[in-house]
Amino acid sequence: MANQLADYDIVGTVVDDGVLPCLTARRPPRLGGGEGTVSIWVLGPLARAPLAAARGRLLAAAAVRSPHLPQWLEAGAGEWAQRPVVFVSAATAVTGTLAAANLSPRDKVVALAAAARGAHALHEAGVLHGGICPQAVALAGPAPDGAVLAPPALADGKRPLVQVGYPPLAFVDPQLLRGNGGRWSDIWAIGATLRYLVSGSAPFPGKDEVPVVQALAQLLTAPAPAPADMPAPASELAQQCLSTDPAARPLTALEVADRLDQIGRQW
Amino acid sequence: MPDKLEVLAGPGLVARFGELTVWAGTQASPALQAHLVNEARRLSQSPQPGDQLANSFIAVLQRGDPEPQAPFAVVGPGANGLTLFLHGPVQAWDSGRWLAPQPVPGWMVTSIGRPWPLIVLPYGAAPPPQSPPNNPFDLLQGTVPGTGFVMLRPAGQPAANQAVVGAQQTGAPGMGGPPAGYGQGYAPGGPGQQFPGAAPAPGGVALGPSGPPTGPGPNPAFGGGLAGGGPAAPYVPPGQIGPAVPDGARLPTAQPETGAQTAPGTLSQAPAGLSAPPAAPATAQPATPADLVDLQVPPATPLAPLPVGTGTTTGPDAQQVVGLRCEQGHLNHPRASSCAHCGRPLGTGQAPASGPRPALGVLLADDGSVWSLDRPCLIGTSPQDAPEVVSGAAQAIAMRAGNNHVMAPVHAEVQLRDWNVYLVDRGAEGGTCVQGPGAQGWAVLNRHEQRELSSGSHLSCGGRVLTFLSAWPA
Repeated sequence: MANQLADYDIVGTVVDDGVLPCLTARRPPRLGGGEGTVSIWVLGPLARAPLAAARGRLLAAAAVRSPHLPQWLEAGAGEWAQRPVVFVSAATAVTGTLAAANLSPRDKVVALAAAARGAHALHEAGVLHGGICPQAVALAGPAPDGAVLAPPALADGKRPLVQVGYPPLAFVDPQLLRGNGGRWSDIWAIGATLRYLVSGSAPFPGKDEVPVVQALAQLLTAPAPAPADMPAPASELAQQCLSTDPAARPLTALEVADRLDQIGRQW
Repeated sequence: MPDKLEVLAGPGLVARFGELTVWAGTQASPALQAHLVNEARRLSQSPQPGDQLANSFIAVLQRGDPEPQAPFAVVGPGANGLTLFLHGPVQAWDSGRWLAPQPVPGWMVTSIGRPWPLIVLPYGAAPPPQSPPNNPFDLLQGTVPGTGFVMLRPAGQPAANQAVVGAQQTGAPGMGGPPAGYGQGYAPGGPGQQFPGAAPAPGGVALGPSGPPTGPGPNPAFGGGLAGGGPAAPYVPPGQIGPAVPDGARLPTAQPETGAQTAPGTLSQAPAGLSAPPAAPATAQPATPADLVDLQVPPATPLAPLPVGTGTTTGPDAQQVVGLRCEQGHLNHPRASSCAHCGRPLGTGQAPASGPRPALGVLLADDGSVWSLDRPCLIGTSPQDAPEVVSGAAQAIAMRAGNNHVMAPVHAEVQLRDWNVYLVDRGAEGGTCVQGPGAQGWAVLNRHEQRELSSGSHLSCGGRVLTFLSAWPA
């Protein structure tokens, strides 16, 4: 395995699930701040890396100060696993992700609430995250309160999705597929993540690409059916987030976060 | 005084213009051979022509290798000495080691100083014996048949700058060491001497400061004409009529795609049967500062908060269509029984209403990309330059051709009319095919023919397949 990404010396792998690899690297001297390690998220593979186009969004996202967002350092293009990729480094130490962590359903809901607050902070700064999924909720401290959001996906939500991988298609708002992304798209993704974390099923049937593709056409016209095994409060919130009509979804991610916290407390 | 260029007799071609020399083996298509020669001629008077020509190929290879089995080589001045670009089954002796793309076929590029002699041969070919003293053969300019070439130090040139770059001179098993007579006799600088400023670059690294190859026009071999000067025109695979420049390619820091067809080579990889020089490091190419976005600086212009509420589901400048409006005001297909937007039922006796057309569905490409049909689409290698796209009336679906296929810059079009979706052939070589849902085979469209698509239809052009999924009832 390669042990370098750009000029970062990779010293460990937090998670490499094929969706959003998270690595630990030595802090390059040029960044200052002394020795230590940084976290790196690998977005990609991106053969047509739109890093330049996403520059403004990434800068705006990094300027947001929130306990639910990492302290991002820089974004760059490089090569990882023999593929061209875009990566984002952060000073925040990460120990795992919501997708891989062995947490109770209650803790997962609370961790997702923290991520939703991070999404809301981004929205207020004009940034659509566009990549919320179980792999994008990182654990940066004692679970579940230490959850933070991984870097935003590079698509801006105003153009049709042209990259897959991160986020997985099963967690992409059909409105985003229409090039009509907005807060409501991240809220849809939080609902999809909630559903997955609690019931184990994504809004699309199966995990393979083909069923997802087949489901897309249906999802463009009809809401996903509610899973039967979800507790009622979580199911109601997830279904509302997953509404086909953006107006029928919660208006803000902050509202979703509050309801998630409430569900967590009552679990 | 220019280097002496001895052409090795045999199939293939060798071309030299100024200090730029190219070689192509017989497996290279006539179009590729013509492109090599034409570009070598055109760039010969440009600064650092070796970098320019190599970078133009790298730009194409980033998207995929049109001719992975085509051996060719480019040798010419670059920013760090002599640029050597090797593609396909080819090998080169730089007076200190054998170089070849790894894996084979693949490609590599490096700077090699002035390593007389430089030998370029097909991969696996035995090196030629040393040419006799005062050999009169010397290609000064032009194109001649040849299975390779030997570049030698010009007569009278002082030896001070001669060098062997990187590895020790190593003998080649079965060959009794370096090519007989070469190396010692022509590189008195000796093994291990480093040429200043000629540090080897990892495979696949574009060299020099030249910008993206926004070539001046189509290759004359394909119906256009090249203007003089300017950056290198990208190689246009056979059948294309325009340049194929990767989206957002930044040549000085370009990273190649990987895979059997596009993998860059690594330095110092010996062809089979030759001695193996030190392996190149397996690490990734370090990013340059230009690759990095410092996220610790505040944005120049803060963004406005994202709006709260609903978003429209219509594309820009959407056509007015007649449909059914739900009680929430969402416009739907006339045959819809419930609102696609909010799910509310639509009455059978509901009066028609008109409004901006919502998205008609999606196109799913075989690379996993998804394209909303809220606007017409142009499909091709570079549809972004089409007037319809520039004006915003259509969206560009840029793809590269599949293996052994050709795709035009604008190959096919998907049009939206009322609530219907049509596939339109744009008359390009290779044509456009469609396969309706449940059909057993592909139907080839006539040139400029248009055909309505039903949900689940596959369309194919240039060896690529896209699937149309409708958002509305049939």
